[in-house]
Formats: sequence, structure tokens, C-alpha cells
Amino acid sequence: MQARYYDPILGRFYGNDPVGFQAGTGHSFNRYAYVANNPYAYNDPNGEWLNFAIGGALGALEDIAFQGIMMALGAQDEFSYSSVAMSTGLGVATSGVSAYAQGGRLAMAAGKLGKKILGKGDDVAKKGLPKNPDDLKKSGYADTSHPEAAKRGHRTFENSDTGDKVRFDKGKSGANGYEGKDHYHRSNPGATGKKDQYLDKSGNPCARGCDASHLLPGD
Amino acid sequence: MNILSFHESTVTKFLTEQNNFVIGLEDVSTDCSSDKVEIVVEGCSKILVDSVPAVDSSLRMPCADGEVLTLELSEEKVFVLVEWNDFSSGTSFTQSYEVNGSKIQTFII
Repeated sequence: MQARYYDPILGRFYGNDPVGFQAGTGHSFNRYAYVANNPYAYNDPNGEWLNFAIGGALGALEDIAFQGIMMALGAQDEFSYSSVAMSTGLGVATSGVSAYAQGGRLAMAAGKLGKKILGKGDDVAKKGLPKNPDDLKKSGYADTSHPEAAKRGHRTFENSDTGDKVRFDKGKSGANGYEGKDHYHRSNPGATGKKDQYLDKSGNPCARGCDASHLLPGD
Repeated sequence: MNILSFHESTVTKFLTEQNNFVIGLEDVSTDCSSDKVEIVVEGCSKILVDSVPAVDSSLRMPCADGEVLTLELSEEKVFVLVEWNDFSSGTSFTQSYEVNGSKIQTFII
């Protein structure tokens, strides 16, 4: 892997740097020099390229990829050039070690994005809300019901990956209208009050108590 | 006038005053045109919040909006499950209340 050999006494490589002269980097004019004559700041184990440049590029790429995923997840509104600059600087300073270290957050974000994409094709999206609310748990929903409410047939389920939150209300025998039928309500994450508290089966905001706020199994 | 259901009604008043507990509701399902109801539990003797005796017997609305999931009335007891909503922060939580008293009155407003 070593592109050329280095004489530690001379402080010079035997061969010239195959990368060649880099415009804007005066020290690269001497292609027998080691890391721009600054071994305190940089290193170049394979003799071809200054690791700080690769490190900077890795840092920038990791940050761009991470920001892209966060924007796709809806967790970030705008692209931050200052964040890229900071990650590039960290990559330069650590010869890319920071990029490897930050790879963990990138992997986690990618995993979340994957789950979100797959979540769109889950059973609830394909087949609608289940007849048995417990089946929601097979589709990534957690039962967050209040114990007294659950005893009376009011169950709450939340999907942390998609942000979907639904309440199941068990139909009461002898009751009229929707109260006599098993139904769901889907929370509107952008609700401003009871007038737009829920979402109808098409995903449009609707008011508490209106017919459209009642979703039946299959919706 | 008959009250058909309290399910999905909106809490507009929720407080204890002079040893009485008052809960005001709108959008109550009735068999007449009125849908506003006030329930007063007189002479409160026991208040349970989430099945635990209330530390502070002066109940207040914890959020500006509340939706009734279940409201059960008997001669001396009101049991109500409320989903409280704070729309500004996008959060909600459910609490149960059991209020015992010497007399319960229901007013159609």
C-alpha cells in the first residue's frame, strides 16, 4: 500500500508525490517533502496524500449525509453550511478520526430513515386500522393507554417511528351512532385546538365530535 | 331532556369551590337542542385522581382543553376520564377523577 519510501534522516521521500503539485498549496511544489513540512499537524502514512485533506473530505461528507437524512426525517428544516464547515475542520484536525466517530450518528439516522420508509408500507397503511387494536402492536405501535381508560375500552397507541397516534374507543352496547361501534380517532400532530384536533381517513384535519373524526376498522 | 352521552364532550369548567366540585361541559350528546351541562357534586368527601387520594383537594383544569372519554354518574359519585390537551406544545395526557359527595346535581344550561 505504501506508494513511496521515506528517509527519516533526510526528512524526505525517495520518490516524488504522485499526487503532484496542488494549486494554492505552495509547499506541494516540493514533491519530495513530507506533509508540507509540517509533521506536527499532519501525517501521510501511505506517502500519497495528506491525511488532513482526506479527513476533511470525510468529515464534510459525513455531515452532508447526516443532514440530508435528518431533513428527510423532518427533524431538520434547513441545510447548515456552518455545520459542514465545522465537521470539515474536525476532520482536518483529526485526520478523519472524527468522521469515523460521527459515523455512529449517521448509522442511527440511516436506520431511522429506513424504518420510516418501510413504515409507509406497513400493515396499517396497507390494510387500514385493525379490528383488534392489539394488532397495532405488531405494526410498531406502543400501547400508551391510561389504565383506567383501558379498562373502559379507551386505548391509546403511538408509533414512535412515524409519529402516528391513534385512540381506540370500544363501542358500547345499546349506544347510538359511533359510540355504539368500535372506532378510532387519529391525532393531528399540527392541531391548534379542538376544531382541527383529529385527522379524517384522508389525512385532512377535522374537529372533535364530527363524523369524519371517527375512523372505522379498515380506514 | 335526556343526556345521551358525555363521550367526546368538551370540559369548559373543572374546579372545586366551597367543598363542591363543579364540572362544566359542552358538546354533550342530548335529545334536545341544548348541549351544555354543569354537574355539581355537593359536600365532597373524597377525591381520587388516578385512583390516588388527591393531595390538594382544590382541583383545577391542568390544561385549557379537555375531552371527556367517559363520565359515569351515580347518586353520590362522579367518575370522569378526561384527556387533557395542550395544543401549544402538542402534548396530551389522560387522568381519571372519582369525586364522592353528599348530593349530585345536573344542570342543563
